[in-house]
Amino acid sequence: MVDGTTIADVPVVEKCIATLPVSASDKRLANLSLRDADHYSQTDASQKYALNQDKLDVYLTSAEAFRVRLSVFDYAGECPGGSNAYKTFQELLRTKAYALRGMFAMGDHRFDYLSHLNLVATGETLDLSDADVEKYSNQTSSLQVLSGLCFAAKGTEVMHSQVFSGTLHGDLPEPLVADLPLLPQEFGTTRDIHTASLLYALAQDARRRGMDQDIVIGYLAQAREKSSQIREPAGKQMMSAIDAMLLQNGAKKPMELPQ
Amino acid sequence: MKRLAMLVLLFMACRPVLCQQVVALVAPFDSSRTKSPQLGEKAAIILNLQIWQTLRIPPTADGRNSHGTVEWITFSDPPRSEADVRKLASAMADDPAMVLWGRAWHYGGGTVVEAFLLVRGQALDTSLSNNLWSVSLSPGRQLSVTAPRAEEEFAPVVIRGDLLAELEDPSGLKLYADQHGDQVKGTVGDAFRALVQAKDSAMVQLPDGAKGWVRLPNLSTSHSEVVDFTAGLIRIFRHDWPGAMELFAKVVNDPQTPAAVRVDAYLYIGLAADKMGRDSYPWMKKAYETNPYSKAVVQYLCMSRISDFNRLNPIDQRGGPGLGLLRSLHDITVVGASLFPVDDAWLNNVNEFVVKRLH
Repeated sequence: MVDGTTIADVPVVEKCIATLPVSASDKRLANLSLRDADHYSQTDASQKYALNQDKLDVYLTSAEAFRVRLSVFDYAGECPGGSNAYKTFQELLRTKAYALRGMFAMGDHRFDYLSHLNLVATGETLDLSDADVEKYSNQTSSLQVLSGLCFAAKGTEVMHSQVFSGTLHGDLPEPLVADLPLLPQEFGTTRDIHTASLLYALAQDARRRGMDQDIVIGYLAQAREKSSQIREPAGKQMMSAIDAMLLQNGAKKPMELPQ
Repeated sequence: MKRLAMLVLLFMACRPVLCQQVVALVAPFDSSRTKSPQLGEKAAIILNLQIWQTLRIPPTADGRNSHGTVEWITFSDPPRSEADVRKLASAMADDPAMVLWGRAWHYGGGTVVEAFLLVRGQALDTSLSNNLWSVSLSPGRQLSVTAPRAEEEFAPVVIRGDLLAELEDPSGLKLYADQHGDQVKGTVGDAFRALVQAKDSAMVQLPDGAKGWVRLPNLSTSHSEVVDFTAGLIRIFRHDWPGAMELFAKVVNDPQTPAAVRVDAYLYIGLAADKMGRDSYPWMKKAYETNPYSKAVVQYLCMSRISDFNRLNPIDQRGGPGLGLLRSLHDITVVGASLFPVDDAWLNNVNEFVVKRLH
């Protein structure tokens, strides 16, 4: 793909070789993606390759990798403050992703992989169908794919945020949608919604990988705490999905403690 | 460039053997994203002095021999991540028990400050709080818990619009000639010593001996739990149980307090209540009702039940009251088992405590 457009679809043949129908003078940079590749994936799906090279080495992995990438597409829309707000929002997500390891006991090394969580800004607006987003998510091993739109409503700029979790969306709507007014007092809600949905996706990924039950529940417990303070409809959707997943994963229904 | 201002008040001459120093470090907040580096530094100074104003000599018990310190340290680069904060704290000679740090954002036409409190229980002397709370399982065997969370994330503080101009001013915080007047003597620089506490202001002394007043306005129009929670934790570490309860009560009574902070405040109140010989269970129950899936909450709830059991006289331990507590403890561990790793030693100890007494 070059700039989001597919320029060739080639088979991988014996000895794991594929030949691209491009000329040696083609100076464009391309992303490669795998289709029908069973459990194989690229080790770095975000890597760009120079098409004028004689040979491109593409590294694959067959391991069920942890999903630690957040792919963030540019937000569209025409809000005067939207661009700055989007940059802030992106930076906020990045710092949150980096800080997630600190939410769990430092001595518990089962959570160490969280330190690899990383946000990748694609630099493009999302122009894919929901099915293609899921494919993109799988091909890039993304934990979440985020995109959105900024619009003005009743004199306030609003960030319409879409969070795709692909096969990890569980009982959450796909995408999870939140309309977040661009106001300083809404900063906390914006932060909490994205943190909670990220923790929920981590719980789904941990379950997919067969990690210990208490790890899955640990993510959900933190996500639940965040969701409980979100008044936005997405907060309720998350609480309901989290509670369902807690029960599916063996967490017992909370007790009615006596006085 | 390293600048240091250390604020130590309410000092008392304590004998070295008994003296436990509890240090809270306030790092300058990162405001590089607001294009006003001064803002983060000033917000941190104001929070620092507001916390300092809560310091007091614990009225009773062994905490009277402790020493509370709030330090403010500024570097040319404020810490930007928890890893930075841990490095900073490790490099400090005083080994702070907690570090308040944060970052400021320009967002939606306003300025928002995120504050975090890193709790470094391991920095404390075991005599005060490496094991924050221990109960006896049997003669010579203790069960302990540490701080419920290593890092607290407070509700974002929206900086008051009328305060922004002063906070963004590249010169330091204004130094007033007196507590209430408008006469400005200059600005507070990188180093000063706090001398006198007053409502919403503090008298400070600069390195050249000049004295003046710094105003300490609320950073936001709404109440923030940052100061009360941090100060409450200092009191916990100094064994000032009534003082800690008083401040954590403010935290839980504030409807804006985030659920996670509220849960931990309930746990600290419960811990303080137990240390005062009171029933901690109502507070642990509130924490459980707020987040029943938290491992720390289940641990504290177990501690509370065991402590209540241990307080019973031997006859009641074997009778109805004891049986009721043991059954309650058993139910808590059964329902909460999935929150712990398989074969968790801590949970196994609780189960063993119950089984031994029920049979």
